[in-house]
Amino acid sequence: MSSKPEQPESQSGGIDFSDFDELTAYLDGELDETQTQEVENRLGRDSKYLAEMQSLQKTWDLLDTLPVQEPGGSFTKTTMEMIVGDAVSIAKNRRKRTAFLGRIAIISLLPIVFFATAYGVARRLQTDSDRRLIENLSVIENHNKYDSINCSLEFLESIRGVDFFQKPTVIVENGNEIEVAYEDDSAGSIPMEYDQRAAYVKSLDIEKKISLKGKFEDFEKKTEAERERFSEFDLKLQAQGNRQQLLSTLTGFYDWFKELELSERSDLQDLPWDKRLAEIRSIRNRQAQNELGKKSLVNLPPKEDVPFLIGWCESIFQLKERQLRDRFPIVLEQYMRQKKIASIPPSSVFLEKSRVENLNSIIGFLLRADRQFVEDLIFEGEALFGLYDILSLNARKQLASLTEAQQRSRILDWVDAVNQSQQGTSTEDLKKFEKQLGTKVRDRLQKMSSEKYRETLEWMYEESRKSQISSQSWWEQQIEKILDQN
Amino acid sequence: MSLSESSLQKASKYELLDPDVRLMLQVREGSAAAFEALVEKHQKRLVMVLEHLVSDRTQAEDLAQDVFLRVYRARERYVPTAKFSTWLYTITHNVASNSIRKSSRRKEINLVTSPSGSMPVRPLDTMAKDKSNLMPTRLADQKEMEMVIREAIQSLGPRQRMAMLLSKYEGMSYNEIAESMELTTQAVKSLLSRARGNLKEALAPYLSSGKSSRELDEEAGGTP
Repeated sequence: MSSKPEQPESQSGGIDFSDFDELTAYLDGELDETQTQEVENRLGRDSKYLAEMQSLQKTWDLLDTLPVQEPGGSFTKTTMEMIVGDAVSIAKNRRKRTAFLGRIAIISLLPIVFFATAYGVARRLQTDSDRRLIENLSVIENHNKYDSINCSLEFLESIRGVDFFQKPTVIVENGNEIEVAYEDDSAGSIPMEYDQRAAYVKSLDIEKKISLKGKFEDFEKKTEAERERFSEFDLKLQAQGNRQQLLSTLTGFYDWFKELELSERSDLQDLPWDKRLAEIRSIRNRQAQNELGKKSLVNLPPKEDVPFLIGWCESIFQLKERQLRDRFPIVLEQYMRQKKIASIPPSSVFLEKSRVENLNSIIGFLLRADRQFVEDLIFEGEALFGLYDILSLNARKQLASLTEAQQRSRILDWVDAVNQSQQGTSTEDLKKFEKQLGTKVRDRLQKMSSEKYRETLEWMYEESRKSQISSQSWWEQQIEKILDQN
Repeated sequence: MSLSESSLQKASKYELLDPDVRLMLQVREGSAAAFEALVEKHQKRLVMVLEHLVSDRTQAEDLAQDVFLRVYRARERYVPTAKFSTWLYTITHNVASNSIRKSSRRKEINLVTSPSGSMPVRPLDTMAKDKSNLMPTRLADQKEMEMVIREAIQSLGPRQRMAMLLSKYEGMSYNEIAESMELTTQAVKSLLSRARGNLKEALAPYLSSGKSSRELDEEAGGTP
């Protein structure tokens, strides 16, 4: 290896070695903002430097003309067979060593044989199992959810009133029409016809296929009676006029339910459905108190005040629900215009969204986009709707040390914190949201620390729910700003 | 923060961030379907990268299978501390390096070195001209261009080539490439800078005119 600089002279042509590294890093998007600015300033005034950059870029683009060939059609199959063969031969070799090790090898061979058999059998029986899967698709997809509510339509109707379980709605474009749809409504979109169902399964991405396969295996293990019970409930649910809404609530409930401890789950399921509802509220309140401590908000209420504040907020916002829902579409439309979002839906869509949106989401949005409105709403009541009566001495002391304006702001912070804890963002929701982001956005997110990453992802998720932002370039800009602040 | 906490945090971050990590975790639990999904998803680009590294399609496919075999063998020890593709290409880099080392022991390779003595650069325009004589019609120009680009990539040193392929075709950041190739970020920056420079030099005749060497020859010689 030479000790001389490794850049050939002919490459530089008036551009020195470090300039060359800098230009490459610039083209690869690896410079920070200051360095990028410096390079861009120089590009503006130095024609040689500009020509060098253009030439490098053209070379890079030229590489795109190379076609990418698919590997041979049997690549996956032979790779899988090779792996099975390799695993078996490793186990066999082990067995030869000693009798004792031989027994161990047999044991270790079992999962491999199972793996190999499962792989082979799965391939041979694909047609049969596929048929059963397609025929029972809706039940297979949802049977765990049905089980979580003991297949009780009555109970499902009752939890529809619990805001927490209602998935937020999204505005979707359907051809030229724009309509309000329920989020996570995959089950609702399962087609009725067999052929369409088969096409639907085929069109699922790999991850969804794997998830479906797991559910299918789980379903097949159920007894005949259980499978019938789920199928009957599925038919009953399909016949409901508000099926979509019910499915959305069920998904929200199930996401929450499966995170509970096993004992909590079985205790809950043993209760009659009316008592179950009270118990659910009580568990939710307990969880909200815990979640409150995790929120990255500066002004959290004293811990002992949290349960009382949850109750207080609930009653105030029930009282003011009409005003909040009326205000929401106006502010949302303004917000979308401010953000220069390209296609603003018609007013009817905003009104529909306001009608069906989760109340906690509406409050959260208004606290950010129109804090004054929420403040006026809370402070118009005499003695703050009895807030001081429910606060602890500690909380009252905190407020007493502040000016009137600061007190208002602090109370709104507490309301915000309590409201956020009631919304809850599940990891599943975040995972799903993260998958929809562009590669650039995800790469930038990855540069953050884990805590910042989660916090930013939650923020993005909330923003997208509130404002329907889906522009990747907008997210890129926002994330750049966050990274810059750091 | 302890090391294990940090690893766990990383693991959960990558699990959330990267669907392939989630698939690999299913492979760790014994899911054949998840492994098959990973093979299907990555085979095309992996074979392409390996083909550029070893210059032989069949060998590239064999090596790609070797890479997947190693991934499978390592499943029980798998802990996600990076994106799945970063890990996959770390293995790829090792497999390709071993293969190149073995084949270089078997045969002497004559490479024309650059003036600095560190870079194996072949006179691409000469090579292209030689090859272009074999092309009977203008329809062959696209093929010829592909060949020239392949030759240009081949002319890079193995490490430059690997860094370039990961950057260009896998869209990896310098940090990710550094992790895959077990180098520092600064070394990657330097490798990529040199790779880009060498490619630019090798492909310069085509860049200035946008024409292939055959067209350039025709213009220079006035032959039809």
